[in-house]
Amino acid sequence: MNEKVRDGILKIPCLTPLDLTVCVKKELTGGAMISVGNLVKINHKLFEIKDSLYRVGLEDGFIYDTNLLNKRVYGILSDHAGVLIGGEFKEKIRKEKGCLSDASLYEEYNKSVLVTPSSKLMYYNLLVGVLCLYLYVLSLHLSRLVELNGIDLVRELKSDFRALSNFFYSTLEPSLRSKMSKNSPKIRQQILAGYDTEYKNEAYGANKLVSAQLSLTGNLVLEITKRAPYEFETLHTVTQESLKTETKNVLKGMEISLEGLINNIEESIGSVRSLKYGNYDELVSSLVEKLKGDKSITSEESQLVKGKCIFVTSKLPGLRRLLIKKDVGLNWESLLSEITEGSGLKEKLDLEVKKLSEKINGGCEGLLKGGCEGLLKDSKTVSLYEGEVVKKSLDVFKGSILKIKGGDLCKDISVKVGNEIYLMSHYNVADLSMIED
Amino acid sequence: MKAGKLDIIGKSYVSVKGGIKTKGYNIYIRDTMLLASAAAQSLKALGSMHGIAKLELDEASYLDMGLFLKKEPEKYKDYALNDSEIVLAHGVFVLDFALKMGVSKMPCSLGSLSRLCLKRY
Repeated sequence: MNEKVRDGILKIPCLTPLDLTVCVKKELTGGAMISVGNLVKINHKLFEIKDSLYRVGLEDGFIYDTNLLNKRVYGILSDHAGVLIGGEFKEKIRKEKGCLSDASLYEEYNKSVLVTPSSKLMYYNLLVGVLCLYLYVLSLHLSRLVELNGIDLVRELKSDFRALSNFFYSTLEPSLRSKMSKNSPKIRQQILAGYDTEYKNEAYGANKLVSAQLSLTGNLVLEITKRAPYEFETLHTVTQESLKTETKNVLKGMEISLEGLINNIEESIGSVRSLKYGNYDELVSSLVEKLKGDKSITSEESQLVKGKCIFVTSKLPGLRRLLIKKDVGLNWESLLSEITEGSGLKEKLDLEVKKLSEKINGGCEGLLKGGCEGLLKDSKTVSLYEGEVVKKSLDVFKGSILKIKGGDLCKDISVKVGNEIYLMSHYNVADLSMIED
Repeated sequence: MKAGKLDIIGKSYVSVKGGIKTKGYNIYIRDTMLLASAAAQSLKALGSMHGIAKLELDEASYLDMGLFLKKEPEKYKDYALNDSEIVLAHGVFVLDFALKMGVSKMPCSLGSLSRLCLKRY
């Protein structure tokens, strides 16, 4: 690696937590990072292999090596034992045996704590995951450093940086990756339609529609996902539902400092999110707090997705529509058109979106002061959002867009307004069969 | 209507997998029969649950609704709209209940609603 770039990385103050800096320093000075599997092949221009720098445990690239019987694993665990075991165990050993090197500490750990092979495997996998996370944070910082210092890189090298970042990202656990993704707010115009029909029985199995009736109401549903704290979990491969794992209990049994480990992961996730999305998290949190304080909006925490808050506006006054068959000629299109356009519900809900937008952006000053205090202190002026809040798209089917103004240092969030209709009947086999098409 | 998007539970049509996409709308079909308890399957029972009395007609009117419309249009209107109001009231009730369980979409049946309850408590 270029010496200048390497020295620069080590000086970055935002490389937090401290353990990460220690870890990364070890990797950089030991030249270990260059040995990470495919990385050498992908990013050969960024890193060069030095045979003399190979250490036990890193020869073939540890990322894919989950064989605990392999001696190489020992090397990795002992290298980072000081960082990851830490806490109470470290103190206990130090009191008994004095100051020990990380490798000796790990020896002691192995002697005194009864660890089953399956627990070791779990710990090893976790360790690899944490290392990948550190390296991913590092690669992002590296890119940022190059960008900030205006280091002129050839195009190919820039691609290598991106590939490096993508490579580390791909090695992360899916549950970790989900913590780093940005779930934009979603808004839906929800129309509830009670539908019923009256018909005349002409012959056995033949009915003639007389009229269709609709009772309508509607409301807005706003879904905002805040960053949820990290837990040891895994994602269901099909539903993406998060499922708790036993990792926490296993680690407790292994006397591994959980608090420190989770703090490190949390800080690394925070670091990634801040590098990728700026102060998006702060803006979203303050927005959620603001909406929770609004008494006209019902709020509830989602059961399915952690950190997701659901906000529902109060229902619009009910509307009743009687559609006489001879006047409208009932088919799917005309029914839909009656529910949305004919009843005027769509317009009313558009107005609700506008009101909600004013609620969100109107108090933008307070929102920014409350939510982005730390980030705004360097900014002399904060421009408030002005102008059009609801943009009608040219294509009538594309719907509206609600904009959440972020201020000078936050990017605006564009929220597409979705539409949904619940068409409800009682014993709908009879009612739906009355629709011509 | 895109009938392929409809599923059948019991004797009712519902859109379980997802809404029917038409003109930028996601349309979900629900049957209140599946959202009512076995003890209150009739519309009358559902209405009384939400404080809406179901209007009753004489036998002749039931047999020929067209004639009833011609004869007494105002009464017909009240009768016809009353049923859809009961359906709406129950739908709103179920949706609000689902929201309290942390879900913003209306479940298809009481079974899915009870699953949400079990998960929460």
